[in-house]
Amino acid sequence: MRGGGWAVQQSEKSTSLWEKLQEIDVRYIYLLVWIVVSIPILKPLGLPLGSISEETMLLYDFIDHLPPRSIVVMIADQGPAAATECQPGMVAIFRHCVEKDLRVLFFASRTEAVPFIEQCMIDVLGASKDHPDYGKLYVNLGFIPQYEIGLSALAANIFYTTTDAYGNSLKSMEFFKDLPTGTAKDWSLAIYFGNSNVDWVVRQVNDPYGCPVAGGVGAVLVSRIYPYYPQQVIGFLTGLRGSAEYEVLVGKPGSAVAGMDAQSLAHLAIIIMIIIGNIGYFVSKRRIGGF
Amino acid sequence: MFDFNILIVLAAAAMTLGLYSYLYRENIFFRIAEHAYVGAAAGYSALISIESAWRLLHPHLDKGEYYWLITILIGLMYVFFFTKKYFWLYRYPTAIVIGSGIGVYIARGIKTQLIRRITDTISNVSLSILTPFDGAIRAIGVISALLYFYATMEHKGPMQHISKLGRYFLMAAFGSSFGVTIMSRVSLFIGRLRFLYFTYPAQYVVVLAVIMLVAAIIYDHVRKAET
Repeated sequence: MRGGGWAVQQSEKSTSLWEKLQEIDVRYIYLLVWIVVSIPILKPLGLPLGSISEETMLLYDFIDHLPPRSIVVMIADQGPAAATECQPGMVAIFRHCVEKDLRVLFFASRTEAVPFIEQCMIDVLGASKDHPDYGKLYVNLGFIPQYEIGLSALAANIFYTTTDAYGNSLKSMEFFKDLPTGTAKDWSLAIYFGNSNVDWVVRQVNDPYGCPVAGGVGAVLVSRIYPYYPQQVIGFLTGLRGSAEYEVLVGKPGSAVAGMDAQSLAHLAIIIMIIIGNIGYFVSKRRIGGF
Repeated sequence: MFDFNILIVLAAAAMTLGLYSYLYRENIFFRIAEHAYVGAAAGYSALISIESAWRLLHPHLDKGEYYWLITILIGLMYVFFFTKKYFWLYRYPTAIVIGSGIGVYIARGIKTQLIRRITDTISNVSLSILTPFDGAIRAIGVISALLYFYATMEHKGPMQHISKLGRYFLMAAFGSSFGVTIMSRVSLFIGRLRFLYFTYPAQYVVVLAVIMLVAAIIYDHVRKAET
C-alpha cells in the first residue's frame, strides 16, 4: 500500500510483483471491500452459520429456564455505531423473554440508545407504551444518566426514577407489585447491549446483589467480557454473529442472519489481503537482505 | 401528501455517503456531513438529557420538595466554563460528578476487578483437570505476561525467556482485540449498506454518489495528466 511497508521505504525501485502489491493505492482495497460486501447483500449466498457458540447457548438456556414473571433488565447502551451488531440480538432476546412470559425492564444508559428501546418493543410487540401488557410485563424507564452512578441508584432502589419514560408512575404499575426487596436482588438477569464497557454492570449488579449479568455486545468488546465469563457473565452474544445465532435459536431469522454472508466474505477478503501483505513484506525484506 | 419520511431517508443516505466519501479524499461533502453529525448528536443528547433531568425532578417538585431544585442550580454551574472570571464555579459540578463516580467505583471495583479476577483465575486453572491443556495455557499466559511487566529484576537468563513468552501472549491478546475490532467495523459497514440498498429512496442517492465518484476520478486523472 502507498506510503506503508518497511521494504518500500528502503528501496526506491520496486520491481517484483510483491513490491508492487505493497504500493497499491489503499483506495483500491476500499473498493474491493465494498464490492465483496455488496455482492452477498444484494444476492444472498446462503452460507451455513455453523454451530452455535457456547456463550450464546448458555445465555439462551439460562433465559429458557427462568420461571415465568422473572425480571430481566435490559440495559441499552448501543449508539448508531453499535446498533447493527447489538440491536438484532436485543430484539431476539426480547422475543425470547416475551415467549417465556418474563418481565422485562428497559433503560438506556446513553442518550443515543433511547430510540433503540422503542424500536425493539415495536419490532416484537407491534407497539410500545400502547401495548396491553405495557406496565404489567414490560416497562421502559428511558434514559438514566451517569452510567455507573445511575445503575447503582437503580439497583439499590428500583423506584429511583419514580416514573417511566412516558411519565407514568412506577408504583401504580402491576410490574412492580410483588417485588420482595425492590433492589437488584429481585432481578433474575441483567443484560448489557452495546460496545463500550460491561465492567460497570458487573460491579454494580453482580457482586453486590448476586444478579447474573449477560451481554449482547459488539465484537470489539468481546476481549473485555471474557475475564468475567462464565462466573459473573453467564453468557453473551458476540457481535453480529452472536445476534444471528440467537435469531436462529428463537426461530426468527432477521437482519443479523441476513448480514452473515457479507460478514463471512468480507473476513475472507481481509484474511487473503493480510496473507498477501505478509508474504510481500517477507519476500521484499529477503530481497533487500533483511534476513 | 408529502411523506416526510422520504426526506429523512434521503438526508440519512446523503450523510452516510458524505462521510464515506472521505475514503476517496477530503472533500466538502465529508465536511458538511461531519459537522452536521457532531451538531445533531450534541443537540439530540442535550434534549434527551434535559428531558430526563426534568422527568427525574418533577415528581419531587410535585410533592413540594423544592430543595431538589438545587441540583438544577449545580448543573447550570457548568455554564461558567465559558467565563474567565467565574471559571472556578465550574469546578463544583465537575468535582461532584467525578467524586461520586469514583466513590461508586472504588466501593465495588476492588472486589470485582482485582480480588475476583485473581480468585477466578486461580480457580479456573485449578479446575482445569479435565482440560489440562487449557489450564496450562492459562497458567503460563498469566504468569509470563505478569512477569513481562516485572521491572525490579533485570530480564536475563530464564527471566528473559519467560518475559519474551509473556510478550507473545500479550501480542496474541492485542491481535485478537484488533481482529474483533475489524469484525465490528465490517458489521457496521454491512448495516449501512443494507440501509442504502434496501431503504427507498436511498438507492437514488447511491447512484448519484457513484456518478459523482466516477466524475471525481476522471477529473483527478485529467488534472494529473495536465500537470
